[in-house]
Amino acid sequence: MGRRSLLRPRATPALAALSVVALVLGVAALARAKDDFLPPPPRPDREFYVERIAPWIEANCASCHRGGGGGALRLADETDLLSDTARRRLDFERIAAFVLPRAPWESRLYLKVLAAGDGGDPHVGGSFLSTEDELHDTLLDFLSGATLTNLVPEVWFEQRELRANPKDEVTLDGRGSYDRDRDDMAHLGYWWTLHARPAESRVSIDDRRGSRIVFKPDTGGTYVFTLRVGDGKVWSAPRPLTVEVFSSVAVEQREPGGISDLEHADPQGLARLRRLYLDVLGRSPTPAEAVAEERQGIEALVDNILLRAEMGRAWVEEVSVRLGLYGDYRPESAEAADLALRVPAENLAPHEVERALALDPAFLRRHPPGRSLASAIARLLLEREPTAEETLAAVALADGQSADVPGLGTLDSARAWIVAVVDSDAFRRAAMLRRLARFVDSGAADKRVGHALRAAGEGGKAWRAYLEELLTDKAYLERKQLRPKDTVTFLRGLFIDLLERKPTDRELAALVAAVEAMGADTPAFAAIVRIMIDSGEAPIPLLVDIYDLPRWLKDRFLRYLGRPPTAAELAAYGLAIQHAEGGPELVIQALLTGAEYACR
Amino acid sequence: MSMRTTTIRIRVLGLLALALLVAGGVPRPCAARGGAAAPPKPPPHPAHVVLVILGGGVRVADMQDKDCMPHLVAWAEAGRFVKDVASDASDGYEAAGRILTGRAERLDGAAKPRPAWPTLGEYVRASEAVPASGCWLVAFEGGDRLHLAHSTHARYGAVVAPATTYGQGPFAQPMESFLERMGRPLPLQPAAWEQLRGLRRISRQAASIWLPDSVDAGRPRAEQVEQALLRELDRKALLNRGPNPRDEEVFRAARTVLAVHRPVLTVLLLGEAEQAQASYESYRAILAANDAGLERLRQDVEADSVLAGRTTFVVVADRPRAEKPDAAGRLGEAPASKAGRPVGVVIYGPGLQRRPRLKGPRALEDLCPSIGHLLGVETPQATGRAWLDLLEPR
Repeated sequence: MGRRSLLRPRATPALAALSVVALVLGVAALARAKDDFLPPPPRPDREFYVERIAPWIEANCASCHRGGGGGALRLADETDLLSDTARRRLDFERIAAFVLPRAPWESRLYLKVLAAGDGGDPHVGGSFLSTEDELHDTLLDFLSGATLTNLVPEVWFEQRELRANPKDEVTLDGRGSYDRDRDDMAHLGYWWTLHARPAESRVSIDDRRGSRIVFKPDTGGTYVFTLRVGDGKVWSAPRPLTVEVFSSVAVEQREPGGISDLEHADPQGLARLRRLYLDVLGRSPTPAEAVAEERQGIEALVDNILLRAEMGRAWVEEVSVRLGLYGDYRPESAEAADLALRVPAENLAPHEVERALALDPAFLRRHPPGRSLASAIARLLLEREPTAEETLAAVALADGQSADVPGLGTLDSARAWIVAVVDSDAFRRAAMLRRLARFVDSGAADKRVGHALRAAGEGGKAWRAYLEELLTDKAYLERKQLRPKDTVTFLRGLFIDLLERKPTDRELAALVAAVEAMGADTPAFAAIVRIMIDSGEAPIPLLVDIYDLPRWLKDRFLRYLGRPPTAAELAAYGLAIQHAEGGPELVIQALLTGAEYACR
Repeated sequence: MSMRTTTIRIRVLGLLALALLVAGGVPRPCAARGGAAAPPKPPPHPAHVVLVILGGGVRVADMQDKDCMPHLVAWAEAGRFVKDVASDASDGYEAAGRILTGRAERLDGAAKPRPAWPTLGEYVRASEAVPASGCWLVAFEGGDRLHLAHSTHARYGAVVAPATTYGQGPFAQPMESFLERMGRPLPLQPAAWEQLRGLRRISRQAASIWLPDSVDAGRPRAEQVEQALLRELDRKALLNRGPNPRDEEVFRAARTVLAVHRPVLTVLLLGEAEQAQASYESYRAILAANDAGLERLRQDVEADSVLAGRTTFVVVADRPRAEKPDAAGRLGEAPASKAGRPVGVVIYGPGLQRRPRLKGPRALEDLCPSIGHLLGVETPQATGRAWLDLLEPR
């Protein structure tokens, strides 16, 4: 096993719990212009490709990707070239488009060939590499910009997300970083950047070059640091380290699958907490979180939740999924990559979040010029059907012609069209309505949209104040009518409720794709519930280990539905759990596949 | 009354009776006079077509052999069997390309490029504004086979491509990595479904005043789709693979597609019959297993209220095989012929004339316009001819 496979993050539960790394994820890939002092991350080296990678590509990829074959990657046609070296060089040019220098580990080339179990993407041709393979490290070296004479050092953090209370002293440790060429790390250079901080914070980094730095947050919110390491020849791509700062309540751990203390919780407080978690963080609270937080005042709770990095990730994930930007089409721009972290730090408004994602090159890959682009722009960005003129314009753009788009004039590219749309008032309004619809019904969203747009127009602080006001409003908190969960919210909540952990971004992307392919949400949700129950990973007790059946049933109702069972339910579920074809698993399946659980 | 007058009267009555028959049979007084309602007349044309391409080469005789493919023979008896359909495609990829594009174009089977002409799936999607989920290509393997889903034609292509799937199935395939880690579920027993149904119902009642109507969890149609998805995922089904494992995957994926999406057009590309090159016995076992797979599909269709009576099956072999196995027990490719090598086509379901008079030569590329005719879809770039002598006129 190569050294990298030892040191690289694996899908361990602990790590997965720490990194709900956004779908979009490039969170690991923040390389904005704040560290201009350093050169940009190295690009792949052609000679390294020709010597070390090309034989492997030719053995595994060429049969499908050469000669007009399948997929987006088109290797050079064999008939075009005279020599192997010339062909390999041309292949390199094509392959370089599938490499992301600012986050090599997120490169499409890498994820396509990596085994699914190691976090690879679905690939028609199958997977060719696991993290155990020697070539895995070589491929990562190539993607990171290694040359035949020097490999690129790599940043390593023990934890990539930290939590702290305001005024705590926080230590950021980059000493796990290593050089791929040498065991001795003394020569490594470090360069820290404070990439994002809350708007009102004045924190700065004193010692940018330390292997370990200490900082003291001066206000609540999300802080994002990045670290690059250099070996004297080249500097690595930056890796982010997130610090969430808010007044957190100590959470008491309990045995997985056991009875929580939710029966002692205030029902009204529990209902409010669930609503806030489901609407803002896109998941239900864990029993421990619910017990610890349900008694907090509503203002403090809303304040805490809006500060969390998870809030930004949940929102960006939801927008990404709605725009079809996941799996092969995950966003690739630097703007989109750090979007999730900028949301809580800078209080970004809805149109700013959606704009960054719509302008990502992946959007045009996902909805190429032609009918599908006209449809995507109208339906996904403007919440209406495309007109016949727009469809004609999109087809003209697909043919390489300029096009007259009603209301926007003559446009010469699909991107120009998207830019014009995302800068329009109609888009701002549609984006705001979509965001408000997360919290209130569509009628109320219509009434509120003018006020909300004014608040967003005044800047992050006013927008944040507006959201706080909305989420502490009595009408919002005491609403009884349920609304269907969107796919991402359902899946995130299901992981928490059943597996007692958050999903990894890969898991989420795979399941979202499966649900989308079916176009039938609740049956697909129900099938996924059954997979998880049968997986053996869900901590479900045996019937003989449940000593107090009514109490256990009540606990499951509180956890999954946020309410106790009715007398009729208690009787029916009590019988089912003891039935030969029933049992605890069937009871849990019934609760998680019912109509009420599909709502929030 | 003279003999002559009697003869004239008999002739006139005979002509009247003939005219009545031509006009659509004897009058049915009950329905017209307010008696017991006549059973609803089946629609003359299907709303759905399932096209099954028996890839790998199948002899015409095997498609008519009750011992080997009893269900297909029964379909042919109830519907129509068309033999002597010329297939001079060089391989299965090119044959499937001809069937789907309706053109006798040479396709380089080695490179397996996309066809340059629109496919049946593109015609269906473009002319009927059908969503991708309403038109599916299910192949026995991934990659090159799925190239046949859509063409590189400027006016058609990816924009109106049908949905595709293979192997793992349309639901399981996207979450392959998840299944690899979590495993697959076990089937739920009927008694357990009863329990589940009861619990869901009682919880739905408890929360009914707060529930939006749009949430269908636990309703009969949702449960039907849920059962189809769980059937596709079934852990046990993967263990019992039979003589035609890859074709069996196609059938499983197609059953999901039919149950969930009820597509306008579903194309199944099988390929295990290629085993004939190695063993005649294996080939026959594969055909028998595929016949059983076809019958399961038919039963699914009959059990679905939307698809039943409105779905036509078209089963076609991509190319023929030699008449007899060689000394080593292998059944090779059929020799080339100037008139094209014959393959069989079975059409079963609505849209067929009752007493057709078959005439003229037929070829694989006729299937695209013929299926287009069945569905009422124009296939303007196809050069094959629709079998209007066989199909109900529109």
